[in-house]
Amino acid sequence: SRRKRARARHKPCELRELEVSVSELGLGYESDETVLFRYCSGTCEAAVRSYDLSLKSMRSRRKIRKEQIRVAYDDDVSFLDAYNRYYTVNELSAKECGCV
Amino acid sequence: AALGLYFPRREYFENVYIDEPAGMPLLRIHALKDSHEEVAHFHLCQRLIVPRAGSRENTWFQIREKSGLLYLSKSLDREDFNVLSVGNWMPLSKAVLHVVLSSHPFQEKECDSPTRATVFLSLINATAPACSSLTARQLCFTEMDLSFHIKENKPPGAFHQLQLPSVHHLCQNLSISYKLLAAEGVPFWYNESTTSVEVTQRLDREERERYELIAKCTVREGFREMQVEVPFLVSVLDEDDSPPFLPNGTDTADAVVEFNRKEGTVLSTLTVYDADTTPIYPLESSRKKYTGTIITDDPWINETFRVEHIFDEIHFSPNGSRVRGTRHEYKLVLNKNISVTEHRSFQLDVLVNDTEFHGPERSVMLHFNVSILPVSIQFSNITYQFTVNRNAERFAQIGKICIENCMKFRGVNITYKLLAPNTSCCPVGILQGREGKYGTLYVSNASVLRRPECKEIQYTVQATDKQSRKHTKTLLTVVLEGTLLKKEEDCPDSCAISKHRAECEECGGLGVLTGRCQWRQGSGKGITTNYSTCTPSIKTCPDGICDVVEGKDPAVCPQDCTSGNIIGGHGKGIGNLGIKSGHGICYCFPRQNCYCEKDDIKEQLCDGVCKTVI
Repeated sequence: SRRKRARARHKPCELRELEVSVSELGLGYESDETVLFRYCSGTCEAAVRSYDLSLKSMRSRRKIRKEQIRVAYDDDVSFLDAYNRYYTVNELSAKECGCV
Repeated sequence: AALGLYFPRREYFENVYIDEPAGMPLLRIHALKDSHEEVAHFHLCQRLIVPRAGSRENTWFQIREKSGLLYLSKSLDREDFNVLSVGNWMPLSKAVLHVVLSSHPFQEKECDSPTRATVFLSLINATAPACSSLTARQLCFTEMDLSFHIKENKPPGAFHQLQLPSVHHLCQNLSISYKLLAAEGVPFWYNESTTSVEVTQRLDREERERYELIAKCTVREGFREMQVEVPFLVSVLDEDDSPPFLPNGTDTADAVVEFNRKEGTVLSTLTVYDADTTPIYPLESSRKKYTGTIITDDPWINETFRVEHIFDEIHFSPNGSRVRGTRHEYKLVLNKNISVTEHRSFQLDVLVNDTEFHGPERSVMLHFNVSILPVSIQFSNITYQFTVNRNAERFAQIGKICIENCMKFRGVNITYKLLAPNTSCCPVGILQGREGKYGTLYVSNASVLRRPECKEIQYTVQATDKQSRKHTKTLLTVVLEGTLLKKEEDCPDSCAISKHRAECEECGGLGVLTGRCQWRQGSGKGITTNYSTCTPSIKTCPDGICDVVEGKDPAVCPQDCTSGNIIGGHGKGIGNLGIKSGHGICYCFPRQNCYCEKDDIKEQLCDGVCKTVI
């Protein structure tokens, strides 16, 4: 299973999605509505530049992996909460992913 | 003159089968009259309309001019049927005819009368069914509800024939009899010889608006007997036959103008009742029918006041049964802002006129006792004294300046001004509060506060009424107190940036009163107005209002004033300004984003760590 985990780590950056209830987002909203939460996940090993190698060398004691990924956000998400109030959350989900 | 004749129902339905013979009666249309002398003449419009397929020349149907009996003048064969249903893709073909009324024999074939009755004929692609195959319901009544409208105050007359002419014609071996089941004293009568229902007396809507009867039909065929009962409803239509009247006889009301002098203020209301109904649509024409006019030849009164009329439906119960009536309200409204110096008393009369009522009591006079009192622009007998901490920062709010009764004023615009003293010690300024009611004192120059030579500063405050130019003055003393604190380094200029209590309370920022920001500890769960945040002064920020001082600089109180992005669970404030409610701790980078998030990182961290250790 260790090898499996190692392989999983090599999955490149990509868009994944999860259906979650609004309450699970942890933003404080109380609502049973479900939203599609799209997020970016994966490694950015193929996007490493000299800058990253140099930075890594300079901080050689600590292993850094530059994993800042995420490119564009999806449209606004609106829902009704448990107290019959409407809310709109913008920039909740990712729409496109990439290594930055 | 308006036609007095009218149809007690506007729509009729009947089925027409193929190959029914010429002369076959289909249905009977009734008209009610305005006077006994009137004679109704029925006329069938020439065009026959086939829905979704246009119109045809009518050659099959005719109406008897005197009796209103619609009959087949020509048998409808299969070919006719095809002509009528061409282009009509519906499985059931329909034809629509219009019937108009006149009190004299028709000269020309006029058909544009607004009161038309519509006959819907279902053309059925089959021969008429045998009488024995029909149910009692089909033999006795059409599918349409028996519901009629009868105008009040009109002479009696027959308005519906229960017997179906077509059934009577085709099923002569059946005995079909009707009965009208009604409570005692109901003004309707079933005439057995004509099988018609008649209204026996003039109706009064103000007495009863709706009659619910039952029509009962008995069909006998040899020894077999079947009975059907259906509701039979009559609504009474209203006309303007009641004069306006005053509830409890009240025709006078006081109207006092004092602190509220703003245009649009409702000073007083008087009510007029009318037992007649008033349609809400079209609103403007109903209003015009019930006018309220200020009776005056004083142009100033005409310019300064107006009367607004609203009406709604109320219920009267003249003898147990509820009938609808109208409540008219006449509101005396200021038509412009009134100057603080104005001082008058007079009686203002409003004539209410029920223009459609034809009687002597069609109008009532309403009286408003108007008193316009002057208000004085003066400070109550005080001189202001405020103490300011020497560590206060720019935009710290010191206090409010207000003339006598200033918070009650509406439509009066007061400007406050500070007349500067003859020294260079000038740390405070004044800003106009909302609606021109009060002035807010704030620190305009923080460095002056720190100067040791400035201790006590005397100002004169002047308040001026914009409209009358009346003004008043009072003295204001600002006392500086407290010792200077050492300034922390690396503090941001806005309290709102701090995310934690410790960093909040050790720093100052724009708007602080004592040199340090204040932490507001929220207690609520979820998204609450009582969120945790760091503020220059808990009293003014966040309070849900972006006041004039906070509005001067976005760094003072972005919690009330931000119009930028708010990230995390939140609710926006009035006019999309500020954070009305937030989740956990809300903090802001002025001119950029605000964030609201739960500060539970510690818990999560522990959970994560613990799991990995195990």
